[in-house]
Amino acid sequence: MRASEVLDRPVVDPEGRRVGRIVEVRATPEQSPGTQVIMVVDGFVIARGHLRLLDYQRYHEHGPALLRWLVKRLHRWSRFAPHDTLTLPDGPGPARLGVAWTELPYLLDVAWPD
Amino acid sequence: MWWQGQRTVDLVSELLDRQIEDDDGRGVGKVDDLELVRRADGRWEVTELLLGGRALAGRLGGRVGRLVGWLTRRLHGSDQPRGIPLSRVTAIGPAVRVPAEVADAVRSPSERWLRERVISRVPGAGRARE
Repeated sequence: MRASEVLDRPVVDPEGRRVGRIVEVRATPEQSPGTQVIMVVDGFVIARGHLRLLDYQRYHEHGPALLRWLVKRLHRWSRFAPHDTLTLPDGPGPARLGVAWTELPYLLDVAWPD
Repeated sequence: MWWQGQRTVDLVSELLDRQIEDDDGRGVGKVDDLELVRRADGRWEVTELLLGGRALAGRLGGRVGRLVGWLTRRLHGSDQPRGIPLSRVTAIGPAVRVPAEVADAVRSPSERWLRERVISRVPGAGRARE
């Protein structure tokens, strides 16, 4: 699957209600002893509408006050879905959450990239 | 450079559209898409950086995507995007760094043609990298 097929894909909750779209894929490089470094997906950022992060999320704690305010304002409803809570179908169609939307942590409450 | 730094990465914001360069800093292209593969344990793993018009066409979608795809097929004659295995990436910073042999293998056919047929015939072109 391509990243472009994941991006903007609608997300529905366990009851089939649409809750948002995937706007970002978060991953971590991993290395097992004696193997190459691989990049494994940790989870997905889900936002209402088409709001992308565009790397401005880095300013939510540091940076100009106006930008901090704007980032927090824009992403106040966005949530982070860990990889084991979201099922991506192989073909077209919405991604399905395995847990209730309200059980997902708010994006602004999870650890951010450095 | 964070590739070997073991930190969390936002793939879309930080990798897509990033310039790809060889060891000498010569541009190869841009990261137009990423190939993700589902592992046996259900987790997704990034396996390849995709570049070229076909990868970009899929990402753009719609009429613009179809137009880019058609142009790419006409110019390059290939329907497949060019891919760089993530294992061959040496560093990711302001640009994605790959070894020279990998860069040569995925360099745009039109750029290769231009380099071999035109640039190399310009007097002094052989000293360009000295």
